[in-house]
Amino acid sequence: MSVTETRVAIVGGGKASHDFLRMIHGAPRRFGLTVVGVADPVPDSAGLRYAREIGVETITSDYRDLLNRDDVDLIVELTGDRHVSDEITSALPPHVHFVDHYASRFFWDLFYMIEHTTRLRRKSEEQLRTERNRLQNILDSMPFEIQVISTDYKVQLANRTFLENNLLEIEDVVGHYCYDVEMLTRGPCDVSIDGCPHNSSLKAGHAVSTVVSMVDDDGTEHFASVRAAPIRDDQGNVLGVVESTLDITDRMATEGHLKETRERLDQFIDTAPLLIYMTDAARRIRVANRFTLDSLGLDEGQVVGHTMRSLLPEPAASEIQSAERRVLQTGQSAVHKGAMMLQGRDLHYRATLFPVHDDDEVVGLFNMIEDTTELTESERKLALRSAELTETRQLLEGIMDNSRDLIFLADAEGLVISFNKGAEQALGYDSGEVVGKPVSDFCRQPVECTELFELTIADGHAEAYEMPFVRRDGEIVLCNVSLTTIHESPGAENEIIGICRDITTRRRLQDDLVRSDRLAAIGKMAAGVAHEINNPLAVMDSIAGVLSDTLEEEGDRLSDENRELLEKAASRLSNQVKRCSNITHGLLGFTRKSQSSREQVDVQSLLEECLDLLQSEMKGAGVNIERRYSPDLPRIETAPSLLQQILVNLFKNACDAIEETGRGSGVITLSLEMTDGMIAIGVEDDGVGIPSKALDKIFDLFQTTKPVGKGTGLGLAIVHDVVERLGGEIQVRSEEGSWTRFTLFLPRTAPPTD
Amino acid sequence: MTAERHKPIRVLLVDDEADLVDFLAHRLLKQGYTVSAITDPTEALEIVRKQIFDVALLDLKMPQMDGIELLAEIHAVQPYLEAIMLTGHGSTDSALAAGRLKAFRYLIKPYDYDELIQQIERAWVRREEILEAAYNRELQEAISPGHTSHEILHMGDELRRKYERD
Repeated sequence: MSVTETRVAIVGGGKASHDFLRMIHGAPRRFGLTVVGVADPVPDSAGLRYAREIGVETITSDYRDLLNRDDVDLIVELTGDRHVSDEITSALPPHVHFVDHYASRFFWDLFYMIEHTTRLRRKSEEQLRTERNRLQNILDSMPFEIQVISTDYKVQLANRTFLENNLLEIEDVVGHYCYDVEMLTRGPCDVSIDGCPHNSSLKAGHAVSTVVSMVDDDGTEHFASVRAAPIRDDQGNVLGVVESTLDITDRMATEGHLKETRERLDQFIDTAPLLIYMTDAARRIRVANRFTLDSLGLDEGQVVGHTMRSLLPEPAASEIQSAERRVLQTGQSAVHKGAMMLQGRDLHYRATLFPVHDDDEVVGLFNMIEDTTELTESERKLALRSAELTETRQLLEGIMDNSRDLIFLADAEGLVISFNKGAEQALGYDSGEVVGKPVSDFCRQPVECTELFELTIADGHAEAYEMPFVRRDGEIVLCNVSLTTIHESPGAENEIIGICRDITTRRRLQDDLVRSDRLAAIGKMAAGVAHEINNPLAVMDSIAGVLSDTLEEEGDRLSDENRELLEKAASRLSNQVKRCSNITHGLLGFTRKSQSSREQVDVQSLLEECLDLLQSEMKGAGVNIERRYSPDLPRIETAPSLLQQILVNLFKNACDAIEETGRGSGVITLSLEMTDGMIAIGVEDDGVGIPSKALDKIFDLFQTTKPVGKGTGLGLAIVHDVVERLGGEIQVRSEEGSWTRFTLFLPRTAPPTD
Repeated sequence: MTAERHKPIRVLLVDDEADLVDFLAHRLLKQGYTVSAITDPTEALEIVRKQIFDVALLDLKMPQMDGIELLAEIHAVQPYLEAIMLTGHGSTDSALAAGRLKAFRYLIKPYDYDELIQQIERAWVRREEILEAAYNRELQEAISPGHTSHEILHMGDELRRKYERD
């Protein structure tokens, strides 16, 4: 027992006594009191009962016994009876203190109040400690690094993650400056330094999130998301900042990628030229992309919640509906192709449908409808085009180099830029000579050429079927010309490519063909006519014969005058029949086979024989013959009678031409030479010549320049026909009023006739 | 060997052109030939069966029957007859056909009268030569062992008649 203890005796055993005892007994040290006894006349009172329980002496006889006891330092009266209080006061020994029930009540209340407050404080402290531990645990278990830093940059708290990540102990951190701990700077970070979240949040007054990058010791870059939030007290004063840091390097990478991918995907879905929509299990559209709306010409409200079947035209609507049903029923994706009219456009499409699963249940579907109308077309074109481009280039180069056509490139003004080999050969110029010169320089009709270029510039293309170009040597090269503008690059000045086909030969062959066709037709008709005329001619000839026979027999019976008249008439009749038969036989000569047997012929001798035949006619016309024969000409195998026919015709024509001049004289120049393995026989006269427009048709049937009644129009047509039968060729040159020259080319051996 | 003519040339003239037949026949008669002038080919065929001709002048183109066909039928009766075809047109085809049928010549109307006469004369000569050759060949066959002289004389008479060697 401590010396400082006060020994207390309690008078009164009521409720107050009970409570007092309990309080003392509950914390005897705290009060420094020891209860030595409790007195009350009622033994069953609450105070006495409790006293007995706790082993405190109880007195029921007379409380006055307590006053004289040596072991009592203090008497506490708790009866509430004033008489008792007065009695004790009067009988109280000097060394014993006394507290009456008034004072006790006061102390009690006071004590009780203190006791209550203490208990509450203790309780809240306990709670705080528990909470603090819990908080620390939570903080420690978090994957973030967490620090609480005061306004003066001292770290007040750090979680385990922070310590572990930075290999620090709690002593190294708490109470130190944050900049020392993180070894960033020697002093507080400047607000201006990018990325001090502490400063940023203090300045902003609210939570701030940033991502900071740090370079590791091994050089790898790390990204951290830092969130700093100011901590305030109840009055709103900022006490510090809580910073949480999370290393998001890995997530950054994934997230960055994901974000990008997702953005692209979103963008794609919205802008893709595909109808993309998602439906629920009842086929009602829940989402549709922009293209779907645009294609249908509807807004979102008119689409979402509806079925695609109600939005599309038939039969596509039904087809897509059944595809949707199939996907929903089977849970398998499906592809469906079809066509429909959508907003006035004929659309070919391919629909690809995917089910949307939620666990095992099909809850909807995705449909992607591609417009394949242009896709297939353009894909095909693209593939073709790239193949074409390569081929075209090679082809063009090949064409340019190897074409026998004349190909040139000219600028918009018609100046030659380039000239292919074909053009060089056809026109006889080197491309170096013509570059920079106008194309029209090489045309016989420059004005028409220039016009053709103008037409090409205007229309992009122009053609001329027969444009005569002039060779370097003056010969005409007849061309079919096709001009087309080309663009080397967009916006560039027009260039013109010209492709010219030399049709000189073709034209000549065509002319020949036309001529021989015409000849054949005329010949056929003429032969028919000739036949019909020949019969009456034969009759007339017989009549003329009978007449002369009769005159011969019995002419002496007539008067001389009449006999002579009749003889003359018979003779003239006979002559006129001969003249007619010359025509008809000439016509029939086209197919006549007689006199065409082949022989070895000395052309020079044959020429002379023919001249003999026509001697009298030539004399009459005052014709002199000039001979220019090459020596030692070979014999040729040909039909002499036909050749004679040709030559006689040519001589007669020459004589006529000279006669027509009216000069009364002229010269026929005969020439013989070998050219290109053929014998060339020239018959030239200095007669009236042939007008150039008649020259083209000179070998046509019934074409004559001779006076009416003189020429039959058969001669040269027959000549041409016969020459061809002999495998030869005949040319004519003439200058009106001056001369005409026929040149006959004959092969060494004439082809066999049919 | 040139045959000597002691009888007039017997000419058959067939042409559908009546005027021609008329006047040409007239001239040929004046020429000293015997002439049968006919415009109908079928009629000509009848005459050919009764009368022997040296030379036939045949029109190539007649409405009833063309000259080539007619010649073939005449040759069936009188193989040694020489024919000169007369034609108003110079069709190679018919000329060739005439050649194949051994027409002596073909002439295009209006023929030259003198040439016609020349061709008739030549045709007769050719016929004479052919007949002579044939007669000689058959006569040599007849004069062979196994025939009596009487028989040989008799056959000679027949051959002379057949080949007009009298």
